[in-house]
Amino acid sequence: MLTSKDLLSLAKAASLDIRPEDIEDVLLGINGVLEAIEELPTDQLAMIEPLSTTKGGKND
Amino acid sequence: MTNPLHRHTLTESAHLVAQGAISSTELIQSYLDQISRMNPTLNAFITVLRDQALQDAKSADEAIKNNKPLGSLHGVPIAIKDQVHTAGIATTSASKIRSTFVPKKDATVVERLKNAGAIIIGKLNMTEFAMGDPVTSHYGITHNPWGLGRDPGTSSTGAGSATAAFMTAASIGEDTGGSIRGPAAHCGLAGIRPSWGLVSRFGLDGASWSLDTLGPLGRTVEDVAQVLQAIAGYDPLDPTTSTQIVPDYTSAMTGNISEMRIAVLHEFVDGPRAKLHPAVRHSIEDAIRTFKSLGAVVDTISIPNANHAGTASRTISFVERVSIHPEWIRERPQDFHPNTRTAFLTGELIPAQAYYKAQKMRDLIRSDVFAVLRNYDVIIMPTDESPAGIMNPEPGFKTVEAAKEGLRKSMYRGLFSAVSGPAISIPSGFAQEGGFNLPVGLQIASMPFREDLVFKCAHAFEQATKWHQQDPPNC
Repeated sequence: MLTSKDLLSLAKAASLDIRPEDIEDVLLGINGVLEAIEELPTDQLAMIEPLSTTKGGKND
Repeated sequence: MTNPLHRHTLTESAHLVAQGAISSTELIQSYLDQISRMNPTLNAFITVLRDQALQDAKSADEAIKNNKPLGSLHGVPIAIKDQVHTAGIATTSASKIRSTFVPKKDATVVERLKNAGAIIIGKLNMTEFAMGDPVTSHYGITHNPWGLGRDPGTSSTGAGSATAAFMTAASIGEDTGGSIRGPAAHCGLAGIRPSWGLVSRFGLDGASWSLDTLGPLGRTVEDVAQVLQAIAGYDPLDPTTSTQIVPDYTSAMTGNISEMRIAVLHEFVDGPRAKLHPAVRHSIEDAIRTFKSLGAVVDTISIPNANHAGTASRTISFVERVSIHPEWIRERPQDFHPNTRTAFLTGELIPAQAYYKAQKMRDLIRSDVFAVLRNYDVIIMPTDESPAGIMNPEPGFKTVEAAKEGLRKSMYRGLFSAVSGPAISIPSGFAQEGGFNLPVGLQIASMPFREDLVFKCAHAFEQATKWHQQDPPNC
């Protein structure tokens, strides 16, 4: 989980200026994504590489 | 008293115009009158092309008079989401940042609609930069004709509202994580997210490179199929389009689905993460009975990884969205709606490892779905777990759990965004909420480039039910 301090450091590195009123929302949004990503099935993900999105169709 | 012309379906209107039973000018005028009546309340249009549409209608009538060859959409009005380029007409993405942008060239979709004879009647409101929050448009909130103050479905808010309120015969929306299907469900329409690569995105101010699709919303499945037929197919200006031959969609719509095998997705109906509104649950159970009565084989199947479809598709779209114009959030942050600004900042700062895992998850989900679709023609599921909610102007999340809840709820439409296959939403019932009669939608999806199967199944359901024949109040 990121803290506000982590967030502002990341933002600085990315040349982004986060207004004080936006900090909490951005932090909650990113931490929500990070928590949800942690819930993905790691064992299954380890067996796969992302493929082209054009793959598929009736002969796939 | 006969119905006004704007109450005909697109297919009926095209037929009447081609036969000379009505003129395109009469038809367009009827729609413009309806826009004058309804748009001040619903705010579905950013730009109404009143003079241009009437001039084009006059040309369409001249073509009929002179026995010129006619396209399939000759003389009928179609409205376009305002992130799709229209030559000489502002294309704003509902933002202050793009408010003065006037493209020099039509998007391929617009060009193909015009080649088919369609008349572009206006540019439609949407959420700012096609983000999923209904209150962010620089041009004001669009209302749902089924209930003022209710979410018309994002991000193609104007497409849903205008088409349902008879202000256009059909519309073009853009679907990244559900932005055609959501408005279709909330506004009682048919709307298809086509296969990724079926419809050119040349001239689209995109949201997410690997997820964006352009597609139609209409009042019937046949209308949607007619419009998709006109815009689908390879475009040398968009190298991501497929070279596959586009089949004749209407010939698939026989009404006979007795040979079809239909899978019901357990996770989105009875799974631990599904939280269906009682009316949505009732509608899916009703739909299963309807399909069985039509002779289809209907089985419940399980795809556990579908539970993660919202996380995968939203994480990918968050990141890809800001990659298109990274300078805007750095140079003009004050010109964004606060909710869009924080979403852009979130997308900028999601770690690469999270994006990479989301892409892996997407591929895993695709493999799982394809495995099911080797044994079934289509998968059915609710388009959304609830009818149109109340629009909340308050910005932001209050907790991490609330942020995660947004990702969870995205799974219903995020699944086939991740899969890249076609998914249609069609009306399947109503919910009584807050004194309103609000539509709910059924989603029917299949393998990439099997729109024919989706239309076949959706059309048979539509013919067997009457949900699509109900109209919003006061329209």
